Amino acid sequence: MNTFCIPAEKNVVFKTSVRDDSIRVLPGAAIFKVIMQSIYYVIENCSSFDTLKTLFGKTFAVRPGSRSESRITLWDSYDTILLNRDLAVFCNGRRWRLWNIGLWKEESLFISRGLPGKSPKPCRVFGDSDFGDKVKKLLGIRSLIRHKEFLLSEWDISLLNRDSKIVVKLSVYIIDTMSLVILRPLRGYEQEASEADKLLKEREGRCSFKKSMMNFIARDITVFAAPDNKNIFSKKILLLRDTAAAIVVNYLKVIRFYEEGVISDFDPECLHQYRVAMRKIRCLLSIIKGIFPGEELVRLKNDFKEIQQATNRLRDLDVNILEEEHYTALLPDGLEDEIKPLFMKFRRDRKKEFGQVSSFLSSRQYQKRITDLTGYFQKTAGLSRTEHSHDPVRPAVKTLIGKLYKKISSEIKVIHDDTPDDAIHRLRIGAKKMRYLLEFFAPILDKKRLGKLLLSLKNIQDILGTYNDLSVHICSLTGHKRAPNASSTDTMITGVLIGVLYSEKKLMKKRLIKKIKDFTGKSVQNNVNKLIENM
Amino acid sequence: MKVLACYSIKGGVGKTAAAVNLAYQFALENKKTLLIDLDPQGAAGFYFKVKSKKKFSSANLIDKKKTLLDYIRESDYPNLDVLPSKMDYRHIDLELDSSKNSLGSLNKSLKELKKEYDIVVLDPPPNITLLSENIFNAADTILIPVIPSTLSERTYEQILGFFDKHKYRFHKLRAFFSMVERRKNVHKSTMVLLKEKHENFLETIIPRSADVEKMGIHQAPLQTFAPKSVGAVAFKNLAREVLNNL
Repeated sequence: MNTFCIPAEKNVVFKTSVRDDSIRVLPGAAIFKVIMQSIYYVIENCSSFDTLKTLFGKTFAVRPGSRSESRITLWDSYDTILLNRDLAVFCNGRRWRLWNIGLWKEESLFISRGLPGKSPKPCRVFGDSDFGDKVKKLLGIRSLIRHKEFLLSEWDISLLNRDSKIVVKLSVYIIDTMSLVILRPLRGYEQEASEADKLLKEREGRCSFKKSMMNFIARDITVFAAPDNKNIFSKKILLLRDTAAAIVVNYLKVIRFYEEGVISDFDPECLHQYRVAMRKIRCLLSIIKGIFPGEELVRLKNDFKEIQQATNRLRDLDVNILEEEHYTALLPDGLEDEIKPLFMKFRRDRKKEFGQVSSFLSSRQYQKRITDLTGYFQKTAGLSRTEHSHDPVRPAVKTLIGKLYKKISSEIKVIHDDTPDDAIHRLRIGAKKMRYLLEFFAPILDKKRLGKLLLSLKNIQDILGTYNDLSVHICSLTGHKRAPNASSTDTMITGVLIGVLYSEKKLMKKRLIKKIKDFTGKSVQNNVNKLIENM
Repeated sequence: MKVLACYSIKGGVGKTAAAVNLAYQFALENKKTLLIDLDPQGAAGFYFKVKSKKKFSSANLIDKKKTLLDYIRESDYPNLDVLPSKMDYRHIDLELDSSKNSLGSLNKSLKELKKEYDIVVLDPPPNITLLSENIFNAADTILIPVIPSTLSERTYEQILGFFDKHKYRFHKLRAFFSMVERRKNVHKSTMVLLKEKHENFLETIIPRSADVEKMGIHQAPLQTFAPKSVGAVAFKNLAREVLNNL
């Protein structure tokens, strides 16, 4: 007889015939095989022993077991990346647990020596631990934010037969009025487990398991769901302006979500995501031409540009501060301490800049502006017709993809060792535009071809991005070096760093030139052609 | 997987108490344990409040084409399962006699448990039959409780004689003193004598204890209701000694 590890999906039960390795799923059946899995119920208003006793009392003797209570805090990134994957981080005193909500089990445990209370926790505070690695893999550079605190009661309850034998074990977890009841069948007592299961089903009624678990854990948390462009393309007739406007509205929702994170200063990543969404909108308005009336388009572009510019300096400072470890590692031995005053200055400047950005985003003026912009894109049906506003989407996107690819290819062909940075920067922007375009219209593109093209793009974008970062860092450090109030130590240190980064940049350029040529090769060309043909 | 049998020809020597308490202790030591009650009396199953399923029969035990797994029941304690006995075990010798493999059927049947359990503890009836010989073949260790008295000494030597005659492996045998009353001189002197005569006596001694008799009232292993009692401590030590020898 085989044994199986079945994920604890509530409504999935199996029966196997004796000595038969095949599995037959019997819908609606509650017949259990030799090795049974736990069954989960999330029930409202079922948190007292008396309620459970009433529920089971006619069929079983109900015996309470051990009970405990603990104060738990739930942590996740600002944009609930963990919850979106049915995971969460629970903290109870010094114990940090990465918890799989779907399977109701611990994935990893970290015992801290003391992490200060409510402030956001970047992954690095968990050091070189399994927990830290797993969380970092999921969150990247995002920090853990404390989303909620609750009292969790845990209770073991046994159901006994007439011989006073335990035949079913229940683990009950209670948060407020919600109970998670885990029914653990005992081997050899399938019928009894089935009876208990039936009683719970009658009480709880049919409900999706996942939804129940999330409701239990994250009831009053706004779980962020990135807007899905698929809905936009479900219409039969897709016109260019309406489609573009709907995409912009989606990104505006993202902007509004991260706005609060920026104002509350939960995580520098909030500002980054805010700016990425803004950049995508600006990109869309720039690459799809002739869909908005001329003067209005100028105004729209200006609005978005001004809003973005208001956050430029803050973002630069965030990026600098994030580089502290990297810059320190670049310095020769003995100079590591010399860099500290520079980063203290970055932090002071950041504090000041943050205050300005926060005020700006909280201001009535900004709020009105962003509301008006959202309103504009939601009501584009009323706008006057322009050259391309009513073009069908597919042919337009076909043309755009082809054009952008040609442009990038021709830019790549003229890049060599002596090419100035401007040209490389233009290429980077072009590649980014192409990626964004593919992202906007992904639902109507061939998945396989799109995947391949995105991979090819990623290869050149990664290296262009790294090259650009080096340029930006050098530029930023040069600015600090030349600042009128720069101390001699600052000047020296930034000089050393600039030297090291410049050497890196030169080496990077050689690698970059080799790598970007691949994008103009036959394989990528054919892929782009096939992608366009299949539209 | 290791198979341990608590065996004696003589009844009332503390065999079932040993099987039950050892099985419980093994489970506490995180060994996935199965206690198989082979005695139609069903005392071992009684101690765990486990009854046999209706469809289970002795055929499941000795016919390798039939499974045991569907009839195993979980006890109230983690890591410990029980296969309770059935009254129809009283016919098991007849069934064994008519089977092709009268001495090795049990061994074959136990093989399907290999992947599931670390230790299987057998509690057979107090006799010497075909079933007993199946146990001699199947077990890795045969634990023999011996009350330090003249009759028990005679019983123990009968077992040794049987093993010798039928060429069973002596190295499987491990004896231990059971229901010992240290105040009794005959117990003290018998223990010394037997240890001198036979080298396979374990060090741990199980004292006679009223608490052991209370197992029937509580329907539970000794360690669950009298963990600090002399008997419970002794069984804990015996379990550790047995594990070291397995």
